[in-house]
Amino acid sequence: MKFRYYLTIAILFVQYSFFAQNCSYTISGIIKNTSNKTPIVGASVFIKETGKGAISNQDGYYEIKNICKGNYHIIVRHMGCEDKEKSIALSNHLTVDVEMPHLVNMLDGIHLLNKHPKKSTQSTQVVKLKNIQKNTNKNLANQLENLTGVSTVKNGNSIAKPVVHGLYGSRVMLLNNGVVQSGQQWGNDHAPEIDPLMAGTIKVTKGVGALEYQGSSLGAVINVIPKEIQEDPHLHGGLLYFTETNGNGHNVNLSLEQNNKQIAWRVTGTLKKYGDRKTSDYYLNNTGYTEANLAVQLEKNMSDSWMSKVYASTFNTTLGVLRGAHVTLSTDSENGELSEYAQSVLHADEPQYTETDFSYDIDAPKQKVYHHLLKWENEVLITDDEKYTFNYAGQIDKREEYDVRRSGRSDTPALGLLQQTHFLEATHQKKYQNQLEVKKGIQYTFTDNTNDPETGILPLIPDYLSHQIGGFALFDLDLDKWKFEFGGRYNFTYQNVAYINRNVNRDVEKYDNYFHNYSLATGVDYHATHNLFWSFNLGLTSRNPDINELYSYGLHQGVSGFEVGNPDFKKETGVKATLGLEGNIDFKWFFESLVYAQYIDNYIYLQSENEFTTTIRGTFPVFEYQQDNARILGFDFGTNYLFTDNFKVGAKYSFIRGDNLSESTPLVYMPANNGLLNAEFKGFKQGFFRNSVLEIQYKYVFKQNHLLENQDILPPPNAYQLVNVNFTSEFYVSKTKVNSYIKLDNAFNVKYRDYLNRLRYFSDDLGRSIVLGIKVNF
Amino acid sequence: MKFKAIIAALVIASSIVSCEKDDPVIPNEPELIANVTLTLTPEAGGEDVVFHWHDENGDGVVDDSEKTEGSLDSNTVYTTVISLNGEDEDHHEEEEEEHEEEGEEHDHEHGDDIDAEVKEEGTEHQFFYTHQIDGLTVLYTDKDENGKPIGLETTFTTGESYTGGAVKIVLRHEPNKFAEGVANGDVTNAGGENDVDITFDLGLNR
Repeated sequence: MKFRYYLTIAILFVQYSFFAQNCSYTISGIIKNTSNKTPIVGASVFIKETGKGAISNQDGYYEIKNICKGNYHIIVRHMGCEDKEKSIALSNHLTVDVEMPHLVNMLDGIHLLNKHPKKSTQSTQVVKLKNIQKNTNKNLANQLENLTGVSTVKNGNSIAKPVVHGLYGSRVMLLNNGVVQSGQQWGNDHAPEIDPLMAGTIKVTKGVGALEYQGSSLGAVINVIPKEIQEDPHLHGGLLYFTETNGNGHNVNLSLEQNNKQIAWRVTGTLKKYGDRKTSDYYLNNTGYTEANLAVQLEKNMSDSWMSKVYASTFNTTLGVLRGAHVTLSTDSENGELSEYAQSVLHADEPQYTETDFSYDIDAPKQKVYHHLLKWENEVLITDDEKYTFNYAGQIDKREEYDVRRSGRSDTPALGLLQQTHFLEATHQKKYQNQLEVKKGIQYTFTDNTNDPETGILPLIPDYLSHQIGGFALFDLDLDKWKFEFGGRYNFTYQNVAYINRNVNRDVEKYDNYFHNYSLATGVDYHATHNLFWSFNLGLTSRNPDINELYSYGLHQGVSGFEVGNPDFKKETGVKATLGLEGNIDFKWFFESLVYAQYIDNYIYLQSENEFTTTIRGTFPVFEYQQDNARILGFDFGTNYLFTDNFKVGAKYSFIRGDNLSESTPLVYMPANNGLLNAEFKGFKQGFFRNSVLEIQYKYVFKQNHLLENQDILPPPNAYQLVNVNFTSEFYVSKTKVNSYIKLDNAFNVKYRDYLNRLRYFSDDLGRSIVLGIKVNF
Repeated sequence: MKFKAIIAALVIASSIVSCEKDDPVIPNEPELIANVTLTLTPEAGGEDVVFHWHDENGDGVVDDSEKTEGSLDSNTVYTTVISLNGEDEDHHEEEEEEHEEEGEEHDHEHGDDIDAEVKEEGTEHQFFYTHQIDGLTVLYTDKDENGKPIGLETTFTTGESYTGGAVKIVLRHEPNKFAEGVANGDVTNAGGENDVDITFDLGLNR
């Protein structure tokens, strides 16, 4: 199951036996460290069914003798590593070599240096299954928060979207199992519709060069990859339950999988329910949410050369939005200062409508989001070095946002959007002389976006449809110490927009938009020594303006601003360079660092105009989308030191600075600099806690000082520090493996606000929370 | 070869799906408050004084020229009613004419009876009349189910020292009507969100 990712088991030895039933078979093999291929001494290997086992010797060699013919599961266990399980059919002597990710486990998120650990010259960070399962209570964006250079834009805790190197929204491409997530990604208060519990790994690529996907990768690419189906003909699965004190949350997740001769399948389902969350001293009224998700994976070898995969997933959620954030922050019409009332809301100790009792109720304002995906993937092997893929992906995204309205209209959405996407792709991949790999492909996407007219409100973004046709080519040259990458993409987009004019007659205006987007990327990797390597990546990419940047018009209650788009916007073009250095000294001290610089021509952002619009509901500041030239500079740094195999300490630091070059002002909504220290202890040698890990984490987030006073209605919040504690353990109840964990988030119940959480205008962030989780594997 | 076939398939596929988005159904906007009318009737008899604010395009910018203001006498008690609605009759007619010219049906409506909605949900609404005008007293004369004022009906009483000035009229949705001072028309502790927030300049008849 989960271990499959690292598990490489080679079955080498084949010897024909004349006897059908025989109890003289031997299983033997070598246990190695995945990262540096050194033998692992003292790992125990045993047969689950019989309990018979052996311990690996100085060379990592083990041998289990006198086993009868039959089907078994063998388990490999070593301190500090998660247990591995492998199904075997024994009818002969068998050699099973196992690689244990011993160092990888110790090092979390830091790459290990051996041959080419990275598939690309891009700076990529990975959130592994182990960490996803440790943070099961977090949504997708929050799962990524501890990677260097990644933060989150939030609208309360349940609605969060990832920010990579200062960019987010449609500048960060989200891939759900390799399919560009299609939804209403333009909205800052729209969280990605993906359940992280469906994922096996989450990869964050920080350069601009993920050109094989048809979407905008101006900022970064986040790829959510489902777990592969284990090569085991028996039915296996896992049942996870966790509960969280803050919000009285409960979550059940069940996964089942089987890989028999006809077909390999997996089904994963999640049910979640949370009530009102709590800050350090009051409940956040109406911040509960519910979620119900299901994913089905099917894989079948149609013939020797044709492999077909189907992935279907559905994501359904209802999210409450803090009631006290839904108030009108009007300004004084004379001088544009916030009205007395607005001042009193912003400076209040607690938000309006704060109640003393906890509740699971979710009333308006709330969001209901449904996302369905169907992907059909076909891989045709021509030779071992050449293959074609043919893929289809269809998506339906339905979003309803409910406001507090008069006369029972709170039950009618104030915004109702239905988006359909159909995607077709064909790619060809070929390797030449084991050095050069060429991948090329063409793609087509059709998008249809329709507003629900029953809302009784003019839509914030118009109805539209779009056709996108694009192609790419990637070249990957692998020489001894060097690796070169070069790629290009061209994408053509046609958009037909039906915009309802704001004049008295409400006429429909049609717009035809044509966008040509180009991307070019090049990268080089240099392995200076076995333990040190450099990577440099340079990319140019363009993004056409989003529908909201072109056509929004109206009062955005949540941000108390009157937002105005501009249909004349040109596309954005960005150039980004990254320079990375990774290495280790004696496999003791590990480090990775990345320096980056990005220049964006015609960067689109929302700017407060020193203008006010008077509506019958009061006077509001006007926010107009602007296009200027921008520059983002920063660096990410991470390091780990292994004192012993059982104890390590780590540190991470991210620095970022964004500037608007045209206006000579700082860029708004850039994440604050932050640092993280952690210590991990795995020294329990015996007994119940034998496979347990204790981790203490300290996070410091600086105040965002790179901002002018008039760029926000409230100054950025102060720096804050958080302490989190995790304790995970793995044990057996009879023959069933059980993983359990306890987490203590915000251990000292610190009262704080975060610059990128929009609710900071109204309320504090979350207080202390304890999460208790248990997972039974069968 | 394969690629050509694929391209051909794509071209065919894209010609099947449409290239033009259908015209959207224009939503009815029942909540849109297009008009605020404050009518002051002298108790002793006399002509009504009418204040009016017209804002047709909803969240669009208010045109100040569509604002009508008036003047009050000193030493007078005015029975006052505030009324909200979606569109005035004139506008309906204008619009119908326009639609007739264009040969289209009149297919959008605005809520006409917002007053009734406010009254029905009286416990969730309250008007506030905030001013610093010397010699002007505004008193609520209506009540919701809990005996708290709504503010659709009031009396404006001018005294000897009345000279005129600005009155800010705020309609709050979901205010805390039990908070201190709120029942007396003090907006400070009310909370809630604004449905209406406008200012009229009251003149003085000399």
